[in-house]
Amino acid sequence: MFQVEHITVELVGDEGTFLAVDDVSLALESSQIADIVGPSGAGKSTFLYALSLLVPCRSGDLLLDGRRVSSFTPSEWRSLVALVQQKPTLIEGSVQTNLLLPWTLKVHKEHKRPTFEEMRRLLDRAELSDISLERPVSKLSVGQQARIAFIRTLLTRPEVLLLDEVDAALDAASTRAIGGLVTSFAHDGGAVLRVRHKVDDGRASYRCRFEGGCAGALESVPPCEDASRSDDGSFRETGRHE
Amino acid sequence: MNSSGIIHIAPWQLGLASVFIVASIAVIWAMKFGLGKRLAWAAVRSYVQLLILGYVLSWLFHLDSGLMVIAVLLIMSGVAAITVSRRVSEMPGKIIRATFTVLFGVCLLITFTVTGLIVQVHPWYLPRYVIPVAGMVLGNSMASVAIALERVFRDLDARSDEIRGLVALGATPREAADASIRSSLIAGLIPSINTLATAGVVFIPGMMSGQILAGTAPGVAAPYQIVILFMVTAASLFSSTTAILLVYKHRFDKFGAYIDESVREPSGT
Repeated sequence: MFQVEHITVELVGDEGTFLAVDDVSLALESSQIADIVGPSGAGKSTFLYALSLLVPCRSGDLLLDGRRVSSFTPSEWRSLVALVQQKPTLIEGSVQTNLLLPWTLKVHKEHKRPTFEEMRRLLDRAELSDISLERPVSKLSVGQQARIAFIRTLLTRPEVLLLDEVDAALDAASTRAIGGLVTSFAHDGGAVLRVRHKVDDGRASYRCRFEGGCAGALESVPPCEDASRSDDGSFRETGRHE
Repeated sequence: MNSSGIIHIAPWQLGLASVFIVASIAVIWAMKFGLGKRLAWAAVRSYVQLLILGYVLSWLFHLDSGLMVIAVLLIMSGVAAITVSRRVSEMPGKIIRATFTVLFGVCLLITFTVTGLIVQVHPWYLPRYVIPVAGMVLGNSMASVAIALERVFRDLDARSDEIRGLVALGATPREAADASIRSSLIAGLIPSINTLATAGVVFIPGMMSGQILAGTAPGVAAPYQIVILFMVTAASLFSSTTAILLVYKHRFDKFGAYIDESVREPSGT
């Protein structure tokens, strides 16, 4: 469903350019969840950014349902392959204003807006049942904001979710709640790629290990060391489905 | 005082006026702003340029060719564009090109609307009207464009996380930059609105004062000043809007992603 072919990203650092992501390939099928793990500075976030076209790739290709990335507009691509950043980026206003923000954008305008009940249901499932839709987001904690940002993307119904440590600022209960939402998203046919630093929560069936030098070093980034990499670089079943 | 009722300023009086600049530089040095040299240089330039202008204008005002007048406007727009690009201090090449296009276009449009349709001078290029009007249009547009561009880049950078979030949700560059574009336009326009609102009360316009000092009846000078203030307001708005719309896109790559330092540098993960 979602294929990443030989993605290479070159970034500019303090000491010139270096390869932040070096020839990484992988393939995700519908309903699959894969975790990207590895030390800080390994290029994990950069990789997710590249998949959502937020940093330019030097080479490589991306395919969604067999269609090349070049046949989408960048906005369309990002609405289908949706990144949730580590740092929640909410705008000033209420929870509802933020949850409906995507429908103020051209790319989502023709899609159906979520109903009040849909928003409420997701908030409840994300351990935010005590937060009203009218609450200004400035009054929320970082952990609550992170969940609002996550739900906002979930409501846009992407095909692939790219999650960059969305549970980094969350307590155990909220982490479980987000994990549950991710599992249901996959259950409904979505594919998920997560960057995580926390202890494995057992929800991902695949794992891809990133290793790279410290920032600025020109070291290669061997992807998917975890016995899940086949010769063509894609993931294979490792039998860790729930 | 001579026969026309104008008090002439002698060189020693001009020298005395320089005390203002010397005092300003003294304050700057005392407070260590580090702008002293720039102010001194700007003051010297204005002194020399205006004295020369005094002589050049009398030559310019006798120009008898529309093309020559347009050429003068081109040079004025060019200098204004370079000034803006220095102040904004980013992407100088792109800023100069965009600003020059905008300033020259707005200058032609507004100046000839005023001289051709409102004042109705003959011939159409009558330098004694066209050049001072263009000077006011350009001077004010230049200030607004500089404020607006400086502001838009600063605001985009301050919002870069939010912008990346919006882009990740599928926003186009225009949608992602919208809030910055609006606030920069407002910042560029506020000085014009303040000027309009306080004209004649706090702010006694230079042109009107000059005309009255030179012996024009206040009843004749006032309508001129109103035309000038309105035209300057429109010029500021048109030029800062078009300049921002031409330039903000350069902060986005061909995939519509925001280009900032943190994206280009490894962010630690």
